[in-house]
Parts: sequence; C-alpha cells; structure tokens
Amino acid sequence: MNTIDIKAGLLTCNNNEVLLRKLLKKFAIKYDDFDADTLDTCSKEECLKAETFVHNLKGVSANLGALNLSRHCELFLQSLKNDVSEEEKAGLKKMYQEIQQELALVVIDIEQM
Amino acid sequence: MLNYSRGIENFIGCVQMEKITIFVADDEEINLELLEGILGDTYQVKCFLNPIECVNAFKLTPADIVLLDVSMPEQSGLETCRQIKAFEDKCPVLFISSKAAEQDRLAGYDAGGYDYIAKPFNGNELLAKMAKIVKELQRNAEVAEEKEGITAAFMDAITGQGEQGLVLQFAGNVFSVTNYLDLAKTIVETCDQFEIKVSMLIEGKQNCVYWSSDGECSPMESNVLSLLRNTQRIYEFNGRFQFNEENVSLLVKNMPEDEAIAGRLRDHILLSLRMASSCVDSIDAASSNILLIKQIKETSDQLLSAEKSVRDSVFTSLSMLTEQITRIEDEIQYFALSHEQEDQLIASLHAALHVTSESSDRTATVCDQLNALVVKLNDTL
Repeated sequence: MNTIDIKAGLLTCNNNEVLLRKLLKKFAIKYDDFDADTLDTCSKEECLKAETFVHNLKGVSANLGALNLSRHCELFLQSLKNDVSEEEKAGLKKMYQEIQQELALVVIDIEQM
Repeated sequence: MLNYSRGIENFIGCVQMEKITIFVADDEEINLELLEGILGDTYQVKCFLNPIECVNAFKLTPADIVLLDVSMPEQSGLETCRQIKAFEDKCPVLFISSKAAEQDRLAGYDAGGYDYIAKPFNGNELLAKMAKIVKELQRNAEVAEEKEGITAAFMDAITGQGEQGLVLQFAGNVFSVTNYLDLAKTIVETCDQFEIKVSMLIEGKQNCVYWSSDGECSPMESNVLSLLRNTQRIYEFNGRFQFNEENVSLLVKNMPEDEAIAGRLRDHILLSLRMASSCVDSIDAASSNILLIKQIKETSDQLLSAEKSVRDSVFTSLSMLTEQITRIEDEIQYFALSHEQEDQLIASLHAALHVTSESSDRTATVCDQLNALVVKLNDTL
C-alpha cells in the first residue's frame, strides 16, 4: 500500500495485525465519502473547524501508519494563524485539498486490502 | 474494575488486590479502540469519548491510571486532568496527543500530568510505560504500608508508655489506701482511665467488698464475681473477662476488640491486681497491728494500775505495822509482862517488821521492773 506504512501501524498496535486491520477498516468506513467542512473563505470559524478536524486526523492517521496524510495535516496546522492574508488563504485551501485527496487515497488503499 | 475511593489507603488496596483499571478519554473513537486493543489484555480499560463523563465516572469509581487526549471539544485534556487530580492526587494521568511541542508538554506538567506520550506512539513502549507505572504504584503502596506500620508501631509505643504511666500512678496511689473500699475506688479510677467498665470483689481477712465502675455491684454481678472467683486466673465468657488474683477479682465488661490493645491491657490488669492483692495483705497487716497496739496499751495500763495497787498496798501494810509496833512499844508497860517477855515481844515484832520491810523492798523491786516493762511497751508503740 502506497499510502499506509504497515510497519509503522503495527508498531503502534504492538504488532497486533488483527487490531490494525480492524482499525484501518473502521477508519475507511468513517472517512469514506467524508464530507469535511469546507474552507472557502478561511474565516475564523471555518479555520477553527478545519483545525479540529485536521488535528484529529493527524493523530489517528499517524497511529495507523498513514504517515503521509499525517504529515499533510501537520503542515496545514503549522500554517494556520489568527490573521491569514489572501495569499496565505490560497495556500491553506491548497493544503486542505491535499489533505482530502490524500485521505481519499488512504481510504481506497484500505478498501483494497 | 479497580476502584479506589478518596485517599491513598484505598488506592493502595486497589493496586495490590485487583486488576489495574485504566480510564481513557479521547474524542476519536478509533484512538480509543486502538488503546483498548493494546492495553485491554493486561488491564481493565474503560473508554470515554467525552472527558466530562470520564471525570464523572472517576468520581464514582476511580481508576488507577488515566490516559487523556489533549484536544477534545467538550473539555480539554488539561482541564480534565486538573479535575481528576483535584479529586485524587495520587492517580497518574498521562496525555496522549499529537500536540507534543515543548509548550504542550509544559502545559501538561502544569496541569498535574504524569507523562506525555506523542502520537504516533509505540504500542510496546506504551505497555512498558504502563507496567513501569504499575510497579511504581505498587512500590509506593509498599512504602506507604511500611510507613503506616512504622507509625502504628510508634503510636503503640507511645500509647504503651502512657498506659504504663497509668499503672505506675496506680502503684503510687494504691499503697496509701487504708481500707478495702478505698482500694476498690482506686482500681475503678485507673480502669476509668483505661476506658474499661469493671466490677470487682476484694476479699481479705477482715471482710469482702463488691464494687463496680457504677458504684455498688448489683446482686447478679456480685454473684458472678463470687462464682468465677476460684476458676482460672483469666476467665473469658461472652466477651467479658474475669481476672482472679489472691485477694482481688476483677470483671472487665468491655474489653477492647483490638487484639494488640487488649493484650497490653491484660498485662496491665494482671500487674495492677497483683499490687492490689498485696495492698489487701498490707491493709490486713496494718489492721492486725492496730489490734495488737490496742492490746499492748491495755496491758500496759493494767500493769501500771496493778503496780500502783501493789506498791500502795505494801506501803500501807508497812506503815500500819510500824505504827502498831510503835504503839505497842509505848503501851507495853501496861501489858503486865515481865521485862524478859516484853523484850521477847518487841524483838518478835521487830523481826516481823524486818521481814515485812524486806518483803516490801522486794515488792518495790518487782514494781520497778513492771514500771520499766510498761515504759518499754510504751516505747514500742
């Protein structure tokens, strides 16, 4: 699987393959067709919602071995600020889209397991 | 589930006796399942999506260890930690978060956290960390238990000294009493200080006294004391103890349930009763002495009286005899006796006077000896 580092996932799961598989399946079900909050205007409210979502996603993806997805999340969180310029907004939107794209790939990979 | 209510004692009890309980709070269900999957075989894991529910559950049945996510919508992990620590300070709380920067760790420490685990974590390391915490809890429990034991031993020693002080005080008081009732009252006073209710029988050469913490013994109590007087040295019946010494029997109605206290008390009672028994002998002996002194005084008075009577009687007899001889010598010329007869009569009378005088001297000597004896008797008193 391109998007999931199984070794990393097994490390978290204490080499319990059954557990990892179960959790990945659960992850795929949860995020399949997941309608994430939009980040159109990059308002404070939107940013806060996105931050919560990405923060959770960062943690759970890292635990399950979806390290690339976790890294995307990390970059996004680092770029979030109170006052976002128009130029930065575009960057944030782009990063957010990349997260969603990577998430979709992860889900596909899991479903193909 | 392992439970400990407030306080280290219960906490220790849980750690030692039952399976360790771990509460986990995370708003991500997958993370909860992951942690339950890793820890569930070794520990009893209870998961909470809402940290407020976790706190509420902890307050009802506290866990041994708590794992918290930091960012949760209902309440942050830091605040949850503070609430848990406010309720049970000894419980180790660990943060598991993808926020693992220095300031995040410091905030966790500030909230009272035990450790900070960054996501992704290593499952094996997590288990090792939990095992280390459990070991530490057990060691703390052992130390606390040991400390408790030392404190208890110290308190026992202090208490024991205090009790011995009471026995010594009893020893000081008991030999100043002069009768059985005062002795009984002194025993009751000491028993009051030991917070035990008693009734007793004091049996000496003079009479028997029944007395209790409430004053006079009831007939039933007196009967029990007498019935058990000649049984064993310590006779137990229905949680009551009767202690029997030579002259004193003591019935303890509320012996303490604590075996250590009861054991010490038994020793104190036996020692005190031995002293009380000796005191009865002393009272009896003192009483005999008083009788003897009275008899000596009476004898001494009688001797003095007799001596005076004898001395007076002898003096009177001698005076009368001397007077009679003088009168006969004056009137002998009128007795129509020859000179020779007169001389014989006078000589006989003088011989009689001499014998009487000698007898009077001997009587005086005996009287002097009697006097000396009376003086000696009086000196003895």
